[in-house]
Amino acid sequence: MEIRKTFHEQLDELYRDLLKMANTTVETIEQTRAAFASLDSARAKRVMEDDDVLDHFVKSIEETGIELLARQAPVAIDLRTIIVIMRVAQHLERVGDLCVNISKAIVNLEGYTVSPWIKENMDEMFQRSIKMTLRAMEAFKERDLTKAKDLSKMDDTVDRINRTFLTSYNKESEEELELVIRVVMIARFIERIADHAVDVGENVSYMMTGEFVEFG
Amino acid sequence: MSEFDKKMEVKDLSMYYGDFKAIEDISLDIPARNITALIGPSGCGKSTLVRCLNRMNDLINGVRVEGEVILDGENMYSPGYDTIALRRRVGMVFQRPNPFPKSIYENVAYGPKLGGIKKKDELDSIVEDSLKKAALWQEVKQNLQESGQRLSGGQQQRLCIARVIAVEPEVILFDEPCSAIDPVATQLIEDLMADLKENYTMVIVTHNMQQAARVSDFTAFLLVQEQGEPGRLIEYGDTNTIFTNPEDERTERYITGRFG
Amino acid sequence: MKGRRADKAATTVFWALGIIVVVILGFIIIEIFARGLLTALNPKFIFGKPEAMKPGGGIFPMIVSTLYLVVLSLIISLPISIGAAIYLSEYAKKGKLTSFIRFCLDTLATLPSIVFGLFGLALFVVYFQWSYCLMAGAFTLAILNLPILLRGTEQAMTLVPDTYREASMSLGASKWTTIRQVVVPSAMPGIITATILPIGRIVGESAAIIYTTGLFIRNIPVNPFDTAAPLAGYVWYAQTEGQGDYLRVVNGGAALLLIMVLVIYFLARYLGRKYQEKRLLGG
Repeated sequence: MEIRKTFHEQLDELYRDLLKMANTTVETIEQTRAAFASLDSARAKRVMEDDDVLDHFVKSIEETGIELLARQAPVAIDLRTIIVIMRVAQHLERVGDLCVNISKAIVNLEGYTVSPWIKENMDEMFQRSIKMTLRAMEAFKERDLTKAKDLSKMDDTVDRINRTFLTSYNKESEEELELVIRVVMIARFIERIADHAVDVGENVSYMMTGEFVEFG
Repeated sequence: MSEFDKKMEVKDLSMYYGDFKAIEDISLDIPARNITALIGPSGCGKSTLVRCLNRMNDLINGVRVEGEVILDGENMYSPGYDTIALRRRVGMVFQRPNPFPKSIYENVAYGPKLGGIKKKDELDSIVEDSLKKAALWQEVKQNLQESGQRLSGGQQQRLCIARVIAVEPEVILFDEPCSAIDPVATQLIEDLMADLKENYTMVIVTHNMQQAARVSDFTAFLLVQEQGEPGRLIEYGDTNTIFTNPEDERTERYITGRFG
Repeated sequence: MKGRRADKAATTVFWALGIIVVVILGFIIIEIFARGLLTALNPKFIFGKPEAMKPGGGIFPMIVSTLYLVVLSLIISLPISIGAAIYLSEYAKKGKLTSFIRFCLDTLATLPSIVFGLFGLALFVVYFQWSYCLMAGAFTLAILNLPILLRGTEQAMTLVPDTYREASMSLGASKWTTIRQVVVPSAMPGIITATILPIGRIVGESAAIIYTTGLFIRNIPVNPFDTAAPLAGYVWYAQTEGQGDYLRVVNGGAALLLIMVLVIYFLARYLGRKYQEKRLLGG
């Protein structure tokens, strides 16, 4: 016989809201990737406008989380779950902001020609960061510690690709300096998206074990 | 608060036991189909206040009331107001479960019989319906003829709730309904109250702040500032605000456990 | 050490007192039964008609008189007592009036029964011109029992918890309905218990009925205004007259009185328990 059903119903709803927010975030990264792949300024601008949605999500999740903490005095797994949901929402919102930053850079790249090598590697970084975000949310949904720990390794790959952008560009001529800077920035932003995914994994680990451990 | 109808309004209510002023100038609204909690340290007047809402204080000698309590637009303290009909509309659940020394059936049927219902099938169906609404039917449907006093504390309290529901009130007042009951039974009753919100307006007096936080939609905080003074309303608002960011410092001190 | 010795001493004393009481009671019962039990249980005695001068009489009309008297007297005093108890416990404001009433009742309770007998004689037998009859006796005994019965029923009602009254009133019942449907039914076991002592008194009362009911009759009384001869009074009469085989009548009568009182006592307790069980199990 379950008692406190109102509280657990509210907690379930909060949980579902987070999953919705995560879906929206993944969708946002995907849109940003597509905008870069075809250097589509219009698409990039849409990403910037749609950031409001993620802002609303995080605000609502935050408010509900605080209300549940204040009124229901949750303990143990319930307490850690609510705290983790609130933290993950913040990470997702930061990912959204990073996509906005990337989109601004994409708009500023209008008119430039980007080499296939750049497009390929950047696209790979985008895809991997999407995979990592999805993996982090899977770890959260399935309470899977292994999947959470995987993220550390996946992040290494993203870091590696990010570094190649830096090392392969010192010898180019000056007229491409703006292009280089923007490309390096975009890569950096994607690398930080991947870092946020790792952080989400760390939070999942905390939710399950009650201990906070840094990965990798 | 503005989106809900006011079921009851308390306006500048003061009450005296003889010369002693127990509560002073209390004004607040009771929104329809919501749960309003009254909290505060012992002796702050919350029980006194809730008993004014169905004129149960009239039963004590030497009690005098100033101010108004308005139910659906009418002041229940106006001269000539029918108190018996009032108590049909505004029922009460007491601190210690107090089922009559009669069978479970007779306990629940007591109110409807007062209202003139005599036919057995009508009474049967009212009893069943009320016990179901009080989440007690499954546990007692085989033993309706057994004495109500043989039930456990939590069950007795639910029986008392069924007894009130049987009269089809509009408002149910709860005067510290869970203080004499174990925690699991308390939770059952809290869940029950959440279900009852659909059809009834409720006011609960509780000395358990966490209960007020869990269960209520609106909360009023009462306090006696200094010994000998009457209880006053310090703050009243929606429960979420009161428990996350109250306006009055005294409210905050009370709910954070820094006094009282 | 001192504590334990004192404790032991006290326990011994209380045991001793208890035993003394039991012994005295036992002695009385044994004495009476030894002298009269055989007579009392003899059907000829129980159902026979009395003989004034000759030996061999029975006491059936006396038994009937006694029982008749109990019923009549209770019919008169119970409603008054319950009514007055309701007034005192539910309506009266505690103050000078109630104190005065209680004072009067306490005083009444201490009067010797012969005073009631003479009062009954003066009022019912002579002034109302009822002559010696059951009604006169019933009324007199009703007045005699009033203080005790009233005390007992009032206490039974005061013992009903206030929370029942509160619950009833909060459901929209009037004060009178609450009293009728909740307070009095809840107080019933206590009221029944409170009636036992008065019944015992009626059965055993002699002085009060001697002056009001009558002492010797041949036939069973039918009309309440008929003269009657309750057993207790008849035993006194037979002893005083000293005619015929009065000793047999006296001893048998006494034994029968004792049996009646014991039967009534156990019956009342049994009924009280049954009512309690019925209430706890339902209804």
